[in-house]
Amino acid sequence: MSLLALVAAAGLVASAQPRVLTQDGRIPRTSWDKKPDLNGIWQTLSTANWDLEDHEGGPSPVVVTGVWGARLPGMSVVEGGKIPYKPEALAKREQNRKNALPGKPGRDLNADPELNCFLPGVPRATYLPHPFQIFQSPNRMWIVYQYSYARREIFMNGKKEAPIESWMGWSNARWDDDTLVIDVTGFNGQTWFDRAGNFATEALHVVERYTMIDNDHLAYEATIEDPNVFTRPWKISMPLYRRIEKNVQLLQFRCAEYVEQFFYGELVSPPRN
Amino acid sequence: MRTILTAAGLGGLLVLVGAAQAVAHHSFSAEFDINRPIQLTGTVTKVEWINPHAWIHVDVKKRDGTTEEWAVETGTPNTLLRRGLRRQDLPAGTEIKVTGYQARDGTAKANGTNVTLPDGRALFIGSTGPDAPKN
Amino acid sequence: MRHRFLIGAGSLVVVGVTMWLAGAVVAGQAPSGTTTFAVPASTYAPPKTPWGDPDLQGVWDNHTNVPMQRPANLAGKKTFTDAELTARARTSGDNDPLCNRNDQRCAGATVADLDRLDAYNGFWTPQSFVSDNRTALIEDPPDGRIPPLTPEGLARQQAYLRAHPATEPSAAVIEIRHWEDYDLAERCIAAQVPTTTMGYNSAQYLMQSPGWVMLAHERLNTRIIPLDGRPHLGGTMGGWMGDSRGHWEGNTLVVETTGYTNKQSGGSVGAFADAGIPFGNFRVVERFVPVGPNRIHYYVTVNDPTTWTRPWTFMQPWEKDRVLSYNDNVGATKAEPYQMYEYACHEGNNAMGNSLRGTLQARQRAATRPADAESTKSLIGKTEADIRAMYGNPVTIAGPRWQYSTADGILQFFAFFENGKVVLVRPDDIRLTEVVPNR
Repeated sequence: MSLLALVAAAGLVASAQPRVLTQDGRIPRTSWDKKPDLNGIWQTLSTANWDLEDHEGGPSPVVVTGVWGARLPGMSVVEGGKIPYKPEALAKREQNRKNALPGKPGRDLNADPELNCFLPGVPRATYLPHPFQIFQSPNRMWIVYQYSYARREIFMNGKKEAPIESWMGWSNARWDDDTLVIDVTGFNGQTWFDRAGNFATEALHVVERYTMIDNDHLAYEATIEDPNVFTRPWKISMPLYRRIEKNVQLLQFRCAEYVEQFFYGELVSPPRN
Repeated sequence: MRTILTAAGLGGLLVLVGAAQAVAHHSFSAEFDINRPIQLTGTVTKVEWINPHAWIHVDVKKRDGTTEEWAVETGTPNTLLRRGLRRQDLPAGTEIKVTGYQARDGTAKANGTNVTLPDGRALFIGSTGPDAPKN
Repeated sequence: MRHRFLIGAGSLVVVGVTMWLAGAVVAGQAPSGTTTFAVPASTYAPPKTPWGDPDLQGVWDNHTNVPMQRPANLAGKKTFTDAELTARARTSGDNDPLCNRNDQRCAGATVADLDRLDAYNGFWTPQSFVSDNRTALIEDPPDGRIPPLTPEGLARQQAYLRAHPATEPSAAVIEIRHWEDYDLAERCIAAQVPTTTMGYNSAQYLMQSPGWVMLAHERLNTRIIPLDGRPHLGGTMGGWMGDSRGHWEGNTLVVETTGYTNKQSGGSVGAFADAGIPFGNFRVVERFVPVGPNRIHYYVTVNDPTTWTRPWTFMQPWEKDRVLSYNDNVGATKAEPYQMYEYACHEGNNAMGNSLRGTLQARQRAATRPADAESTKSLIGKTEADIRAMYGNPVTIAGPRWQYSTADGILQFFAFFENGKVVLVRPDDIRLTEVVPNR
């Protein structure tokens, strides 16, 4: 009995959606265009959100949080190991590192955007420590992330140039055989790639590739380009895992509320009477 | 449509649904000071095309000849976009005139009640003028 | 046939007759928890998705100026005639200021008209509405009014309002001293679910995939609704937006939402329930009834026996492909479906900090204002001749408002007249000598 069947028999897999397995029995395909069916809830296991490059574990920057706030170790997800910065841009990355966690009350726009509960941009939204859900129907796709209100409308066979700048960019997608390729532009230059200060400008251009390995695994790659910051395009990659728990769903993480005390605690006036 | 609260009326409050009422939310009067009407004339230095309010940064010449940088709050860029206005349409150097009210925190920020270009073209003005969209 | 009101330049265009609005209530399945109200059935059959669900996908808008409750002076009147609607459109729904401060329309303005901090003028509010000839959104109770609060509900609300006194949105000063003085949507956390119209950027993208419906509201909310019959989460795990479970009844999408947090949303833009009413005990049933290819009748039944004496139901029509006669989307050269753009609310929320700091500042400033006799406040009661003698002719006149400048050339001084005497000045707390005479 296959592992999948065993798992299903054990009742660990949510009651099945109608799925059409291909002859090779490995990946589900949609009934309408026979493309890989990416519908579902996915999540990374990587710690790239701490740092895209190699990073050791370490103590929390906020001492009193003990191990709750400790830094997790992880291996680089960057092809070749290091991000190819222009020398002047590397100085900015180091500056970001110092500013990432200001450590005092009040909203600081130089801090890590994630610290402030700001939108993560692409590709960071993919490897936050939160699940996300892909919705796929004929000629439509959305990706909704558990983190904050992050979401992306994915324009299937989209050709339009980004009409505005945004945190999450403008996503034009097409199928390259069985790989979903999403071309993302129109960023506002305010996003970071991780907590370690890696960043880009409005010239950022990201090309994501989602390839289904089997029913429960996606191979995710993103090629990143920004001539203002990097000497050449560079690539990250990591697997994405389907969340297979029964009845799994995205939960609410509306973190604007969680930073109110942080941002505004010092600005409160006492009640009049 | 206004929501006026009285003790008797609490059981059946008018809910804010109409367009006019839904827009007149608290924050405007909380953020800007009706006791500080202002008028600015200056040049655009930068536009922040962000929600929920776009901000236009203006270098303003004061009466004493010095220059002060002001930030003018407008509505959502999504609406601007639908009127055919993009960020690029307000490039640095554009001369504008703003009337509005200063921020209650006393800093160089204001809402832009009326924003006009020197040739008289009104930006962000409602649809009752001659250039209103035709049905 | 598209039915739409376009309100712009003070005129109204009504296209066609809205048959379905006049339809009688047909016995259909009563939403559980209501008393006698039955959602009218629809004969329209939408196309199906490849997996066999009715296909309601697309961008929908519920933009309307029909009030939630039937106004007292319209008691017993459920709908307007076409002629009445035309007349109403000319006088309501237009959010423009009476005059643009310096034009001839100001001549007829009152002091109150001009001394008003407008949130936005009509530019910011789309001047088109989903067609709806009703006098109220509430369908049940039949009188179109929200049922009375229970004693417990009333006590709870009064306690909340004592702690957070509400003011008219156009009040001269609203003091925000704590972030919770703002409502949920202005805190950029979420909007109440279900959301009614929010004045602008109220569209919702309804997306479907096998076993799911997703509702992306243009601002703030993204609702994910499983259709596989799984149980509710329980407790308050649903958070601000509640925890939704959906299923199809024929062509109608039925969604039940519970598990809301019991924290206060503070009323809020797009709210259907006022401030002082927590959602913790709510059971909300929504019914999305397709009545045409571009129209859904969206019914919401609200159950909470600890708050209201009986359940109540309101309906909002939704319309798709709301394309206006001018370019609606950036760079569009022809009519296109409405495009929602990113609404990064929290990221740009300077208003919160500004308002809190404003309160701190205002309190300090009150402590250091000049004595009344030396301040502009002392001008109240003076005549036009008095003011001219002090400051010369005003720089501009807008109806009852005279304008002068001040030392820095930025701060302006306004004196408002009624019956030849000053009744109001802005600012009223600067020195008389700070106003620059106009000679």
